[in-house]
Amino acid sequence: MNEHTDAVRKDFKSEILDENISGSETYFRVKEDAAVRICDQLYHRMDCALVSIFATDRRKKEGCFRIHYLFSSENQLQNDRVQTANGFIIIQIDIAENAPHFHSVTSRVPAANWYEREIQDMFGLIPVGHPDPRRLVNFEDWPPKSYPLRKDFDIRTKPERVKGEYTYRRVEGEGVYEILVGPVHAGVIEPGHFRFSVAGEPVLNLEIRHFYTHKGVEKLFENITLDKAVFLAERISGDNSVAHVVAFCQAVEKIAGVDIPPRARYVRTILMELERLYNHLGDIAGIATDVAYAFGAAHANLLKEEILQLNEIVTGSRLLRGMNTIGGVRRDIGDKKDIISQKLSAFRNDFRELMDLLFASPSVADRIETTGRIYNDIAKGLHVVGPAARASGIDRDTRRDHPYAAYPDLKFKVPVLKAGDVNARTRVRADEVYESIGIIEQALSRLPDGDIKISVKEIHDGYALGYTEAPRGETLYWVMIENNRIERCKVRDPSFCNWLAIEYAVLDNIVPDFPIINKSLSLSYSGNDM
Amino acid sequence: MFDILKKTLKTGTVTVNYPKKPDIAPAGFRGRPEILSDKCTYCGECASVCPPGVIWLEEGMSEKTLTLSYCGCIFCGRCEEVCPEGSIRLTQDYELASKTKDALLTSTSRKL
Amino acid sequence: MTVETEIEIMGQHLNERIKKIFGRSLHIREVDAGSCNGCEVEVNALSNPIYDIERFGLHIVASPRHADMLLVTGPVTRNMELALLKTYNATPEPKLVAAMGSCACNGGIFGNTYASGGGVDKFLPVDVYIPGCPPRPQAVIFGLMVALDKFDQKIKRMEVKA
Repeated sequence: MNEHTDAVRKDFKSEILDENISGSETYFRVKEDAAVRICDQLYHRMDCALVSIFATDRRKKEGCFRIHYLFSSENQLQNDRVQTANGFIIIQIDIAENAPHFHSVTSRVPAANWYEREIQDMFGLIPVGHPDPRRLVNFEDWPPKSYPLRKDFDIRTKPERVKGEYTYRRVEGEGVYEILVGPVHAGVIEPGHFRFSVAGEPVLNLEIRHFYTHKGVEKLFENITLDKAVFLAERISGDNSVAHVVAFCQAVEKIAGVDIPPRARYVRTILMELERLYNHLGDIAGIATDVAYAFGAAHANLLKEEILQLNEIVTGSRLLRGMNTIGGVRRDIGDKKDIISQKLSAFRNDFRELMDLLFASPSVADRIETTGRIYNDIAKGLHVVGPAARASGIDRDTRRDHPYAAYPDLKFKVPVLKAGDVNARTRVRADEVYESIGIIEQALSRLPDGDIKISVKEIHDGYALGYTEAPRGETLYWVMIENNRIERCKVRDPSFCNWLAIEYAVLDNIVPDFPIINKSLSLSYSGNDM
Repeated sequence: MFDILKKTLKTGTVTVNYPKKPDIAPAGFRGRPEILSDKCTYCGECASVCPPGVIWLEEGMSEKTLTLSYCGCIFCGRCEEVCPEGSIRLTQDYELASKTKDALLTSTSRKL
Repeated sequence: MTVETEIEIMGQHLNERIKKIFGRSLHIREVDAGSCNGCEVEVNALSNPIYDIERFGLHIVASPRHADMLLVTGPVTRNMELALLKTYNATPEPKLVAAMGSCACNGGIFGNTYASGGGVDKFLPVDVYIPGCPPRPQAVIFGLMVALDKFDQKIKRMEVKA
């Protein structure tokens, strides 16, 4: 059994109203006023990471709103292998409709910041005591008392625009001025607003404002059928489509209680690693561009393009779309084995040559070393995930810590560095590229025979978590199904965690280094805004 | 410096000659869906599963019409997958750019 | 002659003049109006050494003020609507608008909801639609050529009656 769930049971015996275990997820429904204390204990004493907070509207069935605090409970690694007791602890509290507020945990657990503000905007539940209770998802022109994720809000309504104002944090002093960037940027990137307060070149403060690309995805999930939802999941964060769709499918498969065929697990693994390859190459190309190392950028883009073309040959889509479905995969890739391994072995050599040149260049080293540092304690406090976390000394990787698909059968290392600067993040990515190639080669040589999918027809009511390690980091889906339709689908993209870190990473850096820092964190706007 | 030159020379020219030379998408590419009108039975299965909802079945008094718009199509191939008659399939065609939305419609109809 | 036909003829003349002016080169400003980032991957690919659209005189520029064409992706979210209109107004005349990707064409899978506007042509006049999710780089190059009248569009409305 898991030591953390035992401790919660023992320490909060009188506060727990209900307990429910399904697989690796343990749900504790507790008294509303105990939530802050339990979260505090899980986070500070037991070192469990807060991976998400989300709400559900249960007014019709149970007469209340419910807030879920999702913690990842991980045990110490032994000989680099994971203990099987790893799991998730979900603390739930009920909120009455006539008293729509709850106690904020942000001042105790900093990672809770955006989740609580998101709940405030989408459900109209107010986090009492939140240090920054401004709006997050809905803009100032959004009318009050209109909450998109409440069940009585119709997705087709177009609320009128009202007059409102958004206040930015101000840094004042002699010679301090503001630089406003976005939402339409100079490069070909997604929209978001950045506000730098600077004195000369060094950045004193950065405030980011997002949710320009908010497309109402979570509401849309509740309004479409399950088989259509698969394609929506693919399009939440365009270049992480496989990671998203696999996380979604795994959650639904868990609810349905089906085990997908082994061949499908392997195919999914290969697709996920192909996705990691082109994403990491894109990030390395971006960093090379931003440090004006044009030669490296051109070659890295060339290598990225090679993977995209390989994707198109293997799956018919350059971004690996349309391959996954609930119950397995839609196309077999068995006949493409040779071309994948051929291309990858050439790719490995080219990549090694390029990395040797890149890291040997003094002009690159000068720009990326000590730039954009995220210290370990900040990264932990904000729950930074993915390569950015591993470059700051946090040894977490969903593939190893909460194994899924074919990862339990395959051998791979999780590269971890301590420095937390752009250099470390670039090197972690470069090391992961070699590991990914290794994973694909192992998966190809061990590809089991058999079916690629099983049919999943009726799905009984229930809820479950699906998780993957996207190129950007841990991706989570919490799906609840009622009457064969999605009642609630909470999506947690890795960027939702990592965006908060950029405000710290740029401090004391100069403005021209911001693009490199941004690129090195590889943040998705669409996945964040949804 | 010498290494960079060596790598550059080794790589050579990589630019493709599209659009002067046509570029054919690989087999299995998810391109323009095509309706084979002689096979279609107007069951409407494709219309009900289409995720962006760009396939419509219209049943008038005298004829049935199945219309597909490439505008909004996400090329997922669900229509191809569910069609019981095999009368809709994805092709390797991707040169779909059009100045009007009207040209992106394709329809088949049958008198009742 | 009715006012409508007069306007139509004037529009055609203007269109021909635009194509003449842009004959040799086109400066493009990409605007993400809420896409999933898939289209951005492909727009970025256009400048890589394989597709290298600069060889056709097509440049991706940093500001709408330098641009002849807006290449818009995404379904136009409620929160991006104003920014898109401001960008359009900041682009000097004559100008073209290309809707790239299925979302920009008619909302795609995101449709028309409280947060998603359901396509670029609900907000701006669109000169060329480039379907695809996302369109591969060749399809985008083809679309840009169609917009400039360098290529004739291949697709036409198909109606089969049995």
